[in-house]
Amino acid sequence: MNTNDNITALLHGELTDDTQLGELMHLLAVSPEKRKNLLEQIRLSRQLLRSGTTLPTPNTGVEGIWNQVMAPNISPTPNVLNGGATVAAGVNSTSTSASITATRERTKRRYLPLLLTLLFGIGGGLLLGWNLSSSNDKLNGDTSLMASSTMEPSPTTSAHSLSPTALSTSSEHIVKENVKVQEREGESLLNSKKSLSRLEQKISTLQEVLRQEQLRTSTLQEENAILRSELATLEAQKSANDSFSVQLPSYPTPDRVETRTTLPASELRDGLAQTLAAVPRMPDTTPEEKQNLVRVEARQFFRTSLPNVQGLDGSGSLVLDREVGVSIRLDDFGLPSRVGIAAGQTIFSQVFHTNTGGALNDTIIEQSPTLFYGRAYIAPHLFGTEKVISSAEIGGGGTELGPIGTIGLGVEYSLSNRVTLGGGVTSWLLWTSFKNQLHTSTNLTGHIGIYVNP
Amino acid sequence: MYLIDSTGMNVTTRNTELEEQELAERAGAGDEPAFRTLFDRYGSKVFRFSLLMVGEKAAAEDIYQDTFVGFLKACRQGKKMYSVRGYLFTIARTRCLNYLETQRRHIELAPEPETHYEFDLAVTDIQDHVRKALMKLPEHYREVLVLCEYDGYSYEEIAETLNISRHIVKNRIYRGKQMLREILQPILNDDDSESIL
Repeated sequence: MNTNDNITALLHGELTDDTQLGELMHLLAVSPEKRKNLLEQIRLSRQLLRSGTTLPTPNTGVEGIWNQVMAPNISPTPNVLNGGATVAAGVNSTSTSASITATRERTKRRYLPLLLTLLFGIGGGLLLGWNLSSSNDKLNGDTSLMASSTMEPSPTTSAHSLSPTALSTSSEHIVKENVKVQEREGESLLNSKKSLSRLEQKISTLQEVLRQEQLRTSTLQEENAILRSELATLEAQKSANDSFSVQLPSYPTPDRVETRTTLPASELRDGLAQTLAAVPRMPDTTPEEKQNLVRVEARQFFRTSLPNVQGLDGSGSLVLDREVGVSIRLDDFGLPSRVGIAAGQTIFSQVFHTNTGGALNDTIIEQSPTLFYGRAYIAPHLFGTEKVISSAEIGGGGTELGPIGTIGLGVEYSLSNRVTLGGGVTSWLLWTSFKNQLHTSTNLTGHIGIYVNP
Repeated sequence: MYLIDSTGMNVTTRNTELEEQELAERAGAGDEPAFRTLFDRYGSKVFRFSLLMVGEKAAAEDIYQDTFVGFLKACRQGKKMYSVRGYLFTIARTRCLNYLETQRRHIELAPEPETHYEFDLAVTDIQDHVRKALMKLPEHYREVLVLCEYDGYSYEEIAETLNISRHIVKNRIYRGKQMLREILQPILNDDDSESIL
């Protein structure tokens, strides 16, 4: 016997051995696990007791049971009514069920008045026949017979009537027949109950199937609605695309597709190429982009004169100046490029050399005039992606002192549809008239700029 | 302190049994108050036993009614009963087992999908859970637990009623409670907040 067993026995008051009780108490004192087991068992017992308090009560009272068995009008022996030892069947039989007995009792109550009426009718009839026989004897004037007939029925009459023993046998027979009928009814009822239960189960199963089918149908309907909306969208897209498409005679028609299981790769490729060639090219820019063809540009220059680079003069090597301008894209005119005009102010801190005689003159004249200038330029795109475009730039213009020409390379990066950053390198060429002589000057310029689409 | 007679039986129990035998004889002879006394003593217990064994009120009602009808007929026949309680519970137990067997055969014919019992403490009554958990136990565990926990019978009385040894009663009660504890673990854990005594 283990400890848990003893705990259960203790709770049920079944642990009477003092030694075992002492051991258990000691274990409970030292072992938290055993104490937990004890508490769980107490809780379990409490829950069991609680669940027993709310059980329903039976509908049948003592009177109903008493009347079923001990009703004064029911005279047959228990064996006859029970169809063979109901009590024994209750203990040992495996076939008799409670519902059969209940049905039997109900049927018994239904048939008993009829049976009693029948019995009383037979008895009354016999008594009446006997009295009529006595009256006939009286009418015949046979006093001796009359005297005897008043004492007991005549042999002839009694031969036609039923003796009490015969009546009892007949009644038993009727009752037995009734019991058999009732047993059959009971079995039939039991079978019906089983069938009913099976049918109920089938109904519940079918209901479940129906519910799942309904659920699936509703899901399919939802999917159908979604597909319909997608189809409508696709049809709208198709009709939009159809306005751009051109029917080509060589494109595979449905008839050709039906008659041939596969198309040769070359034919398919040619057909696709023709179809693509026939489709008009969409404009590279959207209407929104067209609006942004014109942009305002601001540039910051870092300029140094080439002679300084050559090391002829180390002073004033770097000037910072700025320009602003406006440019426009020429993509719509078939030229992937941009043209623009700009104006700015710069300082040409340079050393001028005379170019007379074709040789350097040792006379060096330094000037650092601050000049306003204006220029126009064209910048054909070299290559690019959606965000980055590189371009060459060729431009020309004039200053207060003479013409200028520019040539350079630039790269742009679009931060957004409106803002683009740029940078590049340019060489500027300045023609200057000085003391009635024309001088040229070159410089190297780097720049950064920001270009905004208004 | 119990008084034990020469046969090792509790004297009080023996006196009760004798009294009940006498009541049964009188009931068989047509003494309704005698039958009523026995009915009042065991009616609700037999019904509760039947209900907790079969789990359906209608079937329990039939079994309970059939049990007392059979008992009363046995009394009329003058059948000797060693223990009225044992006799009543034996009839009820047999009929419960017959009913459950019939149900099992029926379920075998039309098997229903296996469903796992899950607790939903917020929705259903806890006592209902306990009764359902009891119904999940095998019958031989269930019957001893019902007689012990609900009707308060001692191991000895259960052993007499079910015609098994006391040791088996004890063993079945222990194992049945173990199984119940496993099934009802969520409820028992939930019960931690309440006081034990």
